[in-house]
Amino acid sequence: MEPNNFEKDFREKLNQRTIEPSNKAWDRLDAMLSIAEEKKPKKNYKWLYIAASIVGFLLVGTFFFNQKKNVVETPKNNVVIEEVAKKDSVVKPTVNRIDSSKIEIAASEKATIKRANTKEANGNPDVSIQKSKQLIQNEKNQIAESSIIIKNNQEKQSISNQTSVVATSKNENVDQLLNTAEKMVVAEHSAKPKSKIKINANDLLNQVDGELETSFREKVITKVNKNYQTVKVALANRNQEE
Amino acid sequence: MKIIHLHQEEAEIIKLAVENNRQAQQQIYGRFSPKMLSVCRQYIKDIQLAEDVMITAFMKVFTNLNKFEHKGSFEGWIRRIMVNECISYLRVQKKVKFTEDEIYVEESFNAIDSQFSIEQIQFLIDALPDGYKMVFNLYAIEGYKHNEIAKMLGINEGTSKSQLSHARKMLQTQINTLKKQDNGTE
Repeated sequence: MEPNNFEKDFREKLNQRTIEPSNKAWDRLDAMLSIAEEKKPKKNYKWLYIAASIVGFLLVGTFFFNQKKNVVETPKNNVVIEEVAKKDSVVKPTVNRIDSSKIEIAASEKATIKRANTKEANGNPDVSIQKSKQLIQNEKNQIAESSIIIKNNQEKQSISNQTSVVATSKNENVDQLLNTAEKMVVAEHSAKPKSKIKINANDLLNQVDGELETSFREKVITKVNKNYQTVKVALANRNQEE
Repeated sequence: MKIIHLHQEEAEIIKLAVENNRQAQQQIYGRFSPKMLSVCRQYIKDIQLAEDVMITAFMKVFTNLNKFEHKGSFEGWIRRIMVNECISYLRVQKKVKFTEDEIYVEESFNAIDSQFSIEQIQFLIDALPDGYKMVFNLYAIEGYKHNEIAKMLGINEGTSKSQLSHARKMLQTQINTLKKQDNGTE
């Protein structure tokens, strides 16, 4: 391109020129900026609503998640009680062997005996645990299904006052028998692995969990429905306000 | 050192203006508006309309300030927004149409050494039709290339060249008449 002197002259002079705008110009720009700023926050609020609802859902979710944990913990306690009951049963089968004819007799005071037995069992934890293990090994097939265990417990419960009362005279014999039986079972038990007990306990837990979870799911569905309705109403109201 | 300090200060003000700090925005406006009104005045003869266009362009400057990447000069960035706003104003409001003749003659101009006052220069540019004026301003004053101008105005590169050629020719004759007037008065 050829140099055009007048163009160069034009450029230099135009680039140096300044024209002071009128005083109103800034006021107008100021007003336009204010309007633009007012528009922006509204959009931000919309995002806030969305964010708040998401946070709300998350909170509800975590709440239910925590609840699930609590639900899981309770069956564990039940299992402990069952184990204690199993410990009781150590005494019972031996009794059963002794007085098999009296097992069928039932009485209302079984529970109190049970409690006493549990206390005894707690008093000698090591012995009782061993006892329970022995028993479980003896009754592997029965323990495999929880229902059977419940039945067993019922059977165990069915030890009546009468048996105990009648047995008082035979207490010495019974204790002797118990001790010998214990020793035998301990001897047997020491040779056998302990892992199977745990598997049984897990099965129990899983079964109980399955039963509990169905009701938990129903709870979640109803609560989520409720929350959804409230959010829906809130959104509808907000739209109307706007 | 002074330049670095000024640059840092500018970056600080821009940062504040992005956050809608009105004082920072006013500072930017105060610093650049006289120059930018001059730019707008190159394209738009009516000073009131030029100011309107400058205000809308400044609105665009502030709403898009977060997109400024601090790579080129801030003034250059603002200036480009101003020029684009002036072009869109002329094209939309005045419905400027470019004669699609692609025959252009690159004439050799006589070197014109005479110095003009800024008023005379503006007068000469104002006399140009809007189409010629836009291409002349973009090419000769802003320093854009023909392919860039063609993109900005949505025309062919050839049209841009022919428009410039016409503008130059027109200016040449006007300058000659001005010269004659000047000689006559002398």
